[in-house]
Amino acid sequence: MSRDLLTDLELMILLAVLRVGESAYGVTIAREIEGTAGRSVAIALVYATLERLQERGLVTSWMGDPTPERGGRAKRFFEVTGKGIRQIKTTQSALTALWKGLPELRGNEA
Amino acid sequence: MRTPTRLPKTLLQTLAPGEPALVGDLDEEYRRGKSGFWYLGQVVVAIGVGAFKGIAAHPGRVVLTTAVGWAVMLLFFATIGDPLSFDTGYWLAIRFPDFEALVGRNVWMAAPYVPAWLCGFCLASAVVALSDRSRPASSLVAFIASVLVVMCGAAIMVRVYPHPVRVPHPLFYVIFTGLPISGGAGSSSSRS
Repeated sequence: MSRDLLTDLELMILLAVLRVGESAYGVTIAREIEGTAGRSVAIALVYATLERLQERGLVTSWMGDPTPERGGRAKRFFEVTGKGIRQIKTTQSALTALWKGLPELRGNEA
Repeated sequence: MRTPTRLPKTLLQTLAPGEPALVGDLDEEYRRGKSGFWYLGQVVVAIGVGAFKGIAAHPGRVVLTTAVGWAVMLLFFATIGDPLSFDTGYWLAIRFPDFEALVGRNVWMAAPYVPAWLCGFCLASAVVALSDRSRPASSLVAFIASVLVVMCGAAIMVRVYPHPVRVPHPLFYVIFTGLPISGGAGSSSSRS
């Protein structure tokens, strides 16, 4: 059975990759999540999640050039695929459907 | 240019070598002002994540290396640790009778088992790490987790098991291997 919905961390990481754009790699993705969503994520966890997403075909990755400020190590850049975008939309629809019709969450009362 | 200390980086490269870009990312953040404590925390998470990925990917290999670790630890304890600790305990009891009276016979006799247990545990951990060089963190985490489970099990067992265990007896070694400091283990064990 294929998983249609993303977990909260998977969704956050995919959205962060989209927000960061072409320069999306471990550091910038973790920073984007922390800066925008206020959630601190370990970089190793970002890579582990992205590896899982890549296995499912939701992201692609490629290695950049080695740079001196990284001790001569290359960055691994990520990009969300078309399948990844569709998965984000599916998850968004499911969450929105759950959200609708709840009087407790209407306006700022919650 | 700030350079992170060598130990965390070596640990990361040795125990969780899966993601080559990760070391560069951590170095980059450290040079931008993150603390050494942050770096160490990231390394610990990376080792943990790598370990669980390895366990999920190769459960059979992890079970095998854990079994090897236990075999080494029990063998060490049965052949070297136990006789040496027992003799040392008696020697201490005779040499320092005042201390024995102060802390109690069980504790005084069990004290030499702690370094013996530590030696056996370190030796077994080294064998486990060496027997799985591609992802040593997975096997080490599984082995240490199994030791912790046995420790808890032994702690419960020595409280509820009413009969003394004759020595030599596999149960005695499992109890003492799992629970190095235990008056309970001492009281539920008797030498024949």
